[in-house]
Amino acid sequence: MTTSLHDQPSQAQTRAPTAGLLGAVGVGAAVAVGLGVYGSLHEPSGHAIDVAGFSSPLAVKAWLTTAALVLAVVQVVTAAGMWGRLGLSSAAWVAPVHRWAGRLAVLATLPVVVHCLYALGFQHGSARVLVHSLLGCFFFGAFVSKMLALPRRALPGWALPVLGGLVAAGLTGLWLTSALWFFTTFGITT
Amino acid sequence: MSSKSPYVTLAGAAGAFLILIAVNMASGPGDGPAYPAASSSTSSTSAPSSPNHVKGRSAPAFPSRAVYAGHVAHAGPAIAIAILGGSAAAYFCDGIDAESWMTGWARRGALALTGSHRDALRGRLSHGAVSGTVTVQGRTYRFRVGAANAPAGLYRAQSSTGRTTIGWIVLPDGTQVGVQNERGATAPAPTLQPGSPVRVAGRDVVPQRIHGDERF
Repeated sequence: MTTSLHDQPSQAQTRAPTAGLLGAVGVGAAVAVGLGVYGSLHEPSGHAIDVAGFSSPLAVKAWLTTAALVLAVVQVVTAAGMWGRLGLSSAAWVAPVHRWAGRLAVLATLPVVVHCLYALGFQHGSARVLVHSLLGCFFFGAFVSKMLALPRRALPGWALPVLGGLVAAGLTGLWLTSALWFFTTFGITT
Repeated sequence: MSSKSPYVTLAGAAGAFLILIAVNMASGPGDGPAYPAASSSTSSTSAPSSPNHVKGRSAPAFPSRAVYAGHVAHAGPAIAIAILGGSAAAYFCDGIDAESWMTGWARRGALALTGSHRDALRGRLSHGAVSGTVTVQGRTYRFRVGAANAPAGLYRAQSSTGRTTIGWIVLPDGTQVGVQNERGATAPAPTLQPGSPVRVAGRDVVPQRIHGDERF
């Protein structure tokens, strides 16, 4: 290969991933802001579909968020595995588990976020609910960013771990400001 | 990894989210029982429908709908607590300029409610009355209040934005304790005539009875 042919593609490659990453983060940010705006403008209904067998919607949400948190731990472990830690990088099951655990975790949070957004809205009555409201918007924005960043080619090496880490940290913060509060106020109960 | 897989995940999540929102919008309040309801009383008053002081080991439970109201111990402010199923709403006011709306849950005879600025209420049902503590603006009051049957109870009127509110506690003896809050500026509430409208932020609003599942 001559040097002139070699130069062109690598120039395009170094420019494109930054744009791709910025685009992914931009869309995620728009999602986060959009959720916050919807939560603030929509008149909270005070009610949402309830699930049989639980004492209250709060209990359903606390347990679903806890399930998502457990799956988030699976995410972090499999992610570390995929990136060469834990000696797992050659195991074929690691990536599918990461994808499916991730999908399940997000699925588990969807009824929670629908209830939070629709019935309660963006709240700032106390530090706990303000942080929870902000993190809720942030978490879904970060998740969208990570999904949009994944197919991008030649991302900076730190991009996926940082995005994945932000998603995991966001969910942890959400669990701490909701499920943990619920279990310490009402006991570990359904 | 297929380069489409994240888009599949996103599409699936967005689709499920929209379906859930649509289901919620299609159902109104009262669609399906929200909480396990005790056998409902035939009357529509807020009187407890079954005796609460049960002998033996079973813990007392709140009736499926009830309102308790009264003065706090050794002080002028009043407290009203409305319970519907497992949800609870409460109002504390001194009839002058202090008030606090709180929401939370009622479960197995115990109450836990919170409001803004760390206001909180904890209570227990015993022998048909609720006793506990309520903390408002950093001050904690003890209380023991009995049932408040209609027309006594808790009432609220608010503007369409929710930034102007009036709350009234109507006690069983007919006295009213109420505060109006116009975007943070509080003052004694006008007299409430149940069923008649009051002026809130330039509009006539009929005060609503609070049942317990409201979220402020």
